[in-house]
This record gives sequence, structure tokens and C-alpha cells, in this order.
Amino acid sequence: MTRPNTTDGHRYAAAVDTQLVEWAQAGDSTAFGELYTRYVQKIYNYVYYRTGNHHDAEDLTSRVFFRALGHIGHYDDRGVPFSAWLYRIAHNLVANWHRDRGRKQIVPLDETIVSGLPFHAPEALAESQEEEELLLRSIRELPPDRQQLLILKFVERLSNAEIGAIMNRTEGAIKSLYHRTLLSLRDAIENQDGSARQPRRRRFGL
Amino acid sequence: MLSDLFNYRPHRQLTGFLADRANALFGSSASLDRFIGPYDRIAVDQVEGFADIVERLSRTLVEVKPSELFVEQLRQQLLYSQRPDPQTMWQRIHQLPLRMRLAAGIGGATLTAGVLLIASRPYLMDVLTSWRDR
Repeated sequence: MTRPNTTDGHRYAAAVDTQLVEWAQAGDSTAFGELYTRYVQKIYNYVYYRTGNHHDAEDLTSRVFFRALGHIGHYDDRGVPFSAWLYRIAHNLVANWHRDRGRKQIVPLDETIVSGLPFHAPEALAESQEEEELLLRSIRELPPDRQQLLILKFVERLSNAEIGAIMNRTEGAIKSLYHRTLLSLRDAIENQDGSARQPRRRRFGL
Repeated sequence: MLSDLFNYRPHRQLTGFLADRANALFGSSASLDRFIGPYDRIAVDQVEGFADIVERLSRTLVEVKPSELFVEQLRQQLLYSQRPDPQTMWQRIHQLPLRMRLAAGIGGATLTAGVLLIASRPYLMDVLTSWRDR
């Protein structure tokens, strides 16, 4: 690959993905760098919520982009956006990661995202943390495709059509999957709420 | 079931409503009342059951920023095609869960013993034959 050319930064920033891919396939590393800049946070977000911790998210994000770099010559835009191709690589690597490690998909308490509550409401903060932990646990017990749908819809805020392109489904199928996902999630949360009323030990660091 | 036939159109409307409401949640005001109108076949109680979950999802699934150091280091590695040190087979095996490593070890030892037994079969047959013929 060629050394990055810093004099054409604006050209790369203004180029559309298909043009950048074409340049990257021709060996332009700066073009691939621009693609990386555009999608690193999105891929990181997706991997983070699928793995539940920053360490593995960084490791898998690296693998996603190295795999993309190594296989970009094989990428063919047949109506599949470059972003959709990246998400599919990420999805497959995460699936392999779960299979190889056989980990339970539980978010460590210190990784929980806490909403902005005022400091003078510690009880509300603890309750909110527990609610979010419960929700994240329920999400990670869903099948991978439903997890992917929720992350793409709520974190990335993609439209149903965009999600459909990534997941290789029609827009109608995505709407239907979303409905079934909410049903599953609602049932899972209700079941966990019921068991949570019984005293249980809190597991730290897991 | 027969009841499903009667519920089919409202079911489709509910599916569509949920999808549209999620999309609008990320835009301007997403008041329930604003979206109930076109979906006249949907009962409000059907929708309210999902509204809480959707609100919780939108509060919980938020963007997470990767570390700037990580982003920049990975960029440099990619641009200069400097892959991280590839893992050896031993490192990959070492990362597997303990029970998988034990199972693989037992399986490998059993397989090795079986191969050795088969390979040494002529010699063993000769030994057994000589004992029998004493």
C-alpha cells in the first residue's frame, strides 16, 4: 500500500464511499483511512454492545478493519453499501468470538452506560443502573440477528431500509422482526423482573 | 388460528406503527397521539405496552466512544499495513475455555493411543502368538 498523501485531505473527505472504495482497491491507503474514519465508531459501537466490554470491542474492531483491508479487493458493490459489508464482517467475527469463548453475554456492572442523573439522587441512580443492566442482559439473550437490529436501530439510528440492506432483508421483514423483537424483550424483562424480586447475590466484576 | 385472520390487518398496522414510531423517536417530538391517528385499528393499550420498552431502549442503547488512542493507533497500523503480531496456534488454543482444552487433550491422547496400538499390531500379534505357542 502507498504512504498516505496528506495534501488531498479535502478530496478524500468529500468523496462518496464508492469512490473511496475504488481508490482503496487500487492501493490508495489514504482512501481506506478515510473509510476507516467514517465507520470506526459505528463498528466499535456495534461490537461493544455485542461483547459488553471495551477490551474485546477494541480487539474485534481491529480485526474487522484488518479483514476489510485484506479483502477489499473482493468487495463488489452490487447494491450492498460498503457500510453493510463492514457490518457483516463485524457480525461474523462477533459470532465466531462468542462460539470460541462460550461466554455468557452479561455486561459487567462497571461497563453499564448510566443515564445523566443528578448526583443528589443516588437511589435513583442505583435503580437506573439496575434497570439498564437488566435491559442489557435481556438484549444479549436475544438471538444475534435481533441484537443486531436493536443496535442498528437505537445506537446507529438507521432507517428500516438501511438496516434491511445490512441484514440482507426487506424493509417489511425488518419491521416484522422489530415487532417480534420487542415482544421477546418485553417477555424477557417481565420474567427477569419476577425473578429479581427474590433475593439474589450480586456478582461483581462479571 | 381463526382469530389470527381477524387480527391480521391490525397486526400489520401495529408492526408499521412501531417501526414508524422508532424512526420518529430519533427526530422531533414522538408523541404517541401524533402517530395513533393513521393507525385507527390499533388499540391504545396495545401500543402503550411497547412504549415503555422503546423508551428504555432509546435511553440505554446510546453511542459509546472508543478511546482516541486506540482509534489513532489502529489507523496507523492500517495505513502502514502493520498488522498486530499474529497469534500462534498455542496462543489461540490457550484462549479456549478450560473444559474445551481438557476435552481436546483427552481426545488427542486417546486418538494417539489408538494409532500407536494399530501401528504396533503386527508386533503385538507376534508376541501373543509366541506366548500361545509355548
